[in-house]
Amino acid sequence: MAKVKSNREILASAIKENPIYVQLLGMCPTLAVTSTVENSIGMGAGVIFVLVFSNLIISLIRNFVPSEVRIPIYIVIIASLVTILEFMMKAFVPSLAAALGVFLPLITVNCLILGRAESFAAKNTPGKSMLDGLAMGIGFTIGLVSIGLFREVLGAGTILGITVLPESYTIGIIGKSAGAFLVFGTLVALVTKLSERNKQVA
Amino acid sequence: MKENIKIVASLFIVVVASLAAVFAVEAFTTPIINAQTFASVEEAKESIFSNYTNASFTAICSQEYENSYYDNLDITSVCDFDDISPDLNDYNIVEVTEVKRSGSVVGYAYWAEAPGYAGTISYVVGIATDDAETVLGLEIISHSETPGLGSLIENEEFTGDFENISAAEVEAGVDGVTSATPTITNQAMQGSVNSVIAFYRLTTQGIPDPAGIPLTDLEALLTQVGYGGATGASVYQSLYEDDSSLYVSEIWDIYEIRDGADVVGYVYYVNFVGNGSKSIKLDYFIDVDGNALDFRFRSDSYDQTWNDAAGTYGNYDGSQGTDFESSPWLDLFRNTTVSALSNLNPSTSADAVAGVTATTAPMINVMKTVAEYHMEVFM
Repeated sequence: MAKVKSNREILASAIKENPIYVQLLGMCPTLAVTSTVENSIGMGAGVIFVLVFSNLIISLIRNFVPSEVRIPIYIVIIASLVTILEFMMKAFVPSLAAALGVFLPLITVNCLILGRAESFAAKNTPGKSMLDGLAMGIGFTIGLVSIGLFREVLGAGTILGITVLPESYTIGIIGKSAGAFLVFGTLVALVTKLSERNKQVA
Repeated sequence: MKENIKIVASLFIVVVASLAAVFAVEAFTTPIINAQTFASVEEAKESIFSNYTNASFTAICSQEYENSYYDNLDITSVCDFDDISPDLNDYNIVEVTEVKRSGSVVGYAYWAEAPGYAGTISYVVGIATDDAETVLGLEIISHSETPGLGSLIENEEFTGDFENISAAEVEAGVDGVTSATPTITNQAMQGSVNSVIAFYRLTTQGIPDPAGIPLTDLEALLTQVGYGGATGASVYQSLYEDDSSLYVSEIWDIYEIRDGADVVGYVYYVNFVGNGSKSIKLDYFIDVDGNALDFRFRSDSYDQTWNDAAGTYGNYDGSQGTDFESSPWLDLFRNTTVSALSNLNPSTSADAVAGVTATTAPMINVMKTVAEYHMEVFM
């Protein structure tokens, strides 16, 4: 049994165990919606919401769930949570729902949510699980926004829609699906290189 | 045994609890969400007609939309105009709003729905009753298209294509969303706006005169089905003059075919929108017993670039390079009966090879429409 993490360690895992660059979780939305910074923030915010609450619920029921059927149970809970969230946001924060609306259903199939349910919330207290959800969600958002930043600047010459590069200097393919792989691959290589150097120094 | 019961029970409890929670939240939030939808529809109408100061908006007909929001309006899909009562369902229109200024009608706002890639795209489009039939603007109310691709329809680059532009230019095809290839979203929007324009014309200008079938096309078709020498005369107008519901926008004319004194069948002149928003016209022969024998694409369809199933998209028979007009897939509509045609379903019976495409689905739909029309009127 792994030792219980301190709250500080949980928060630090947003960077140290970054879901995108280190754990390589949730690749589908990572590649699909990072064409702009705005989309990346939208997806990230949705994931933070769902991750915090799914971790909370799964942690609360962790002692009652038979391990043979834990995965289907987690999936039912996550899917219901996403649906409920969508209804609530549409009803009470329509402007946010309009911005996030299309990203929300995608969250159901984000393996980061299921991954944290399985590897953290099922073994830890509700408080720590919520904190883990928050940390992982923030880490995921940082990852998305960093990819989105490169893709938007290089692909469209804008940041959050504000032009920073003249159109003749942009590389169209970076904003397209293939560009997602190129940028993502380059950034993962860079992060791996940097973290290895850190280890050697330590 | 005890373990199994625990597994089943826990799954059951979680599923029931989750469903209960989802339904409870849905029941609670639906009226609030609908009220917001209605508010944004009203806002969209006003912003589209913002150049018309002091305009008044009156919904004149509306389909049922979840909990409808009108107290004083009959909620029905049939919309009554002077000479015609079209069914809003046929045009995917939710609601028609008359826009008046100082007592006279200046335009119409249509709340309509397009079948997008991932569910319904709900939008409002406004058309002014001027000579150019100016499309004043379009606003998306809700959609669930792919983020970053189909979702670009929300942007000014897309909706701007529908701003202060004549209806004819819109029908000729707008640029659409250019990033990557969200073709399904583009075509859904283009097709839906085209049908709103058709509805606008029908209700403001009345039913057009039958189009007439050129003699060479008619003779060629009759020879093809073994009735060479027979003659035909249009009967379409006499049908819909008495009953405007017998006018169908895809059917441009109907000829009664006589061999000597005997009626041997009917020829339908059909027009529909295929791939790339290009119109496809064909003449279809159905005999008096309801056998749907054969059809010919109209020669004037070829005047424009043939956009359907050419080159790499010609694999309606599983091989490439076949022109759509000679594709074996079309045998689905030959030597058959109207009752068989009316049972076609674009989402299941397109055929095993081609699946549903931008050409096969509208083609099947229009054949169904003709078959159902024929059974209702002539059999």
